[in-house]
Amino acid sequence: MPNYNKFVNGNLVALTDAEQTERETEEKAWVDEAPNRRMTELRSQRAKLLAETDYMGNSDVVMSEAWATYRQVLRDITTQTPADDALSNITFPTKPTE
Amino acid sequence: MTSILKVDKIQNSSGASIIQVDNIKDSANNQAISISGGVATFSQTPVGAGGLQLLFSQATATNASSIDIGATYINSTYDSYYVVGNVKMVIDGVQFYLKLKSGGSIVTGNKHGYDLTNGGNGGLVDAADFIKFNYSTVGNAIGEGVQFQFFMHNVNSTIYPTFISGFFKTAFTNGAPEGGIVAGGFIAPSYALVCNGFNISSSNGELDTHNIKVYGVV
Repeated sequence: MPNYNKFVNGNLVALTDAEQTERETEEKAWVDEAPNRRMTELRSQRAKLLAETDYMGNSDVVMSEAWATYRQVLRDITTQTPADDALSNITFPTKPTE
Repeated sequence: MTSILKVDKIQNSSGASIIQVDNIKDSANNQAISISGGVATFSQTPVGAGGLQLLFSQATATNASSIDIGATYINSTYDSYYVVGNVKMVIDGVQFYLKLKSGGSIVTGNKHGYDLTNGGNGGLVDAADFIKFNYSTVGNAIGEGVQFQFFMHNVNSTIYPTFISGFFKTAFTNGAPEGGIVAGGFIAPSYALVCNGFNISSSNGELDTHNIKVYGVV
């Protein structure tokens, strides 16, 4: 497979072998990092959802069983493994209506 | 013998006061400005006029691994630059990277840092080889891609680190667009690096169609 090209000041030139190797290393790192990247995104989304209901843990608020279950399912969500960057296979719990 | 004509107004044949010229030249007879149809055309880029000076412009559908702008355009002429453009990716689900150059090469060794914000999401990194623009990964369908603009400052400073401040919008075909703010540049310990270029690439695969304009800020 021929080396990639790059535009340098508007002119298309081929990558040197060293540049191509560097590029392939960078691309491999991106692919290899995908599981960690997706899990980080999952934790980020979980943190936002938990933060929305943190106030329910205040001493002057009584948290219903449904909300407690909702928050526990969120905390356990990292037992699921994201299959893609969009987390399309992850099942987030539905917020209780009560 | 030198003759000097002194007048306080020039009138047309109807007696209306005007100054009517078709061109303005220097003493060596080099034309600086031509005027025709009420439009003034400068022969060269004005010097000392301020504003943005277009240095580079490219629009292409040719694939490439990156867009590299070097010292031909990013140099000691200006300390600040404005860059605006669009990039479409070849591979689905990738990120947009901006890498600064110094001494003719892309700077490596975890000397880039950035603070990226998109809605309630974001990322903050102080040891990277790139500045990440978009939050969610970018698709490669027609119409998808990253639209961006950023200013580069302090490129020639050896006291303050080169930094960029910009905005981006990521277009998706099956979801709402994402917009965000990014600030980044060389990290504090790399303050003395003179920046003489930048490189735009994706985290994986080549860039597809793109256009970009680089302006020097006077």
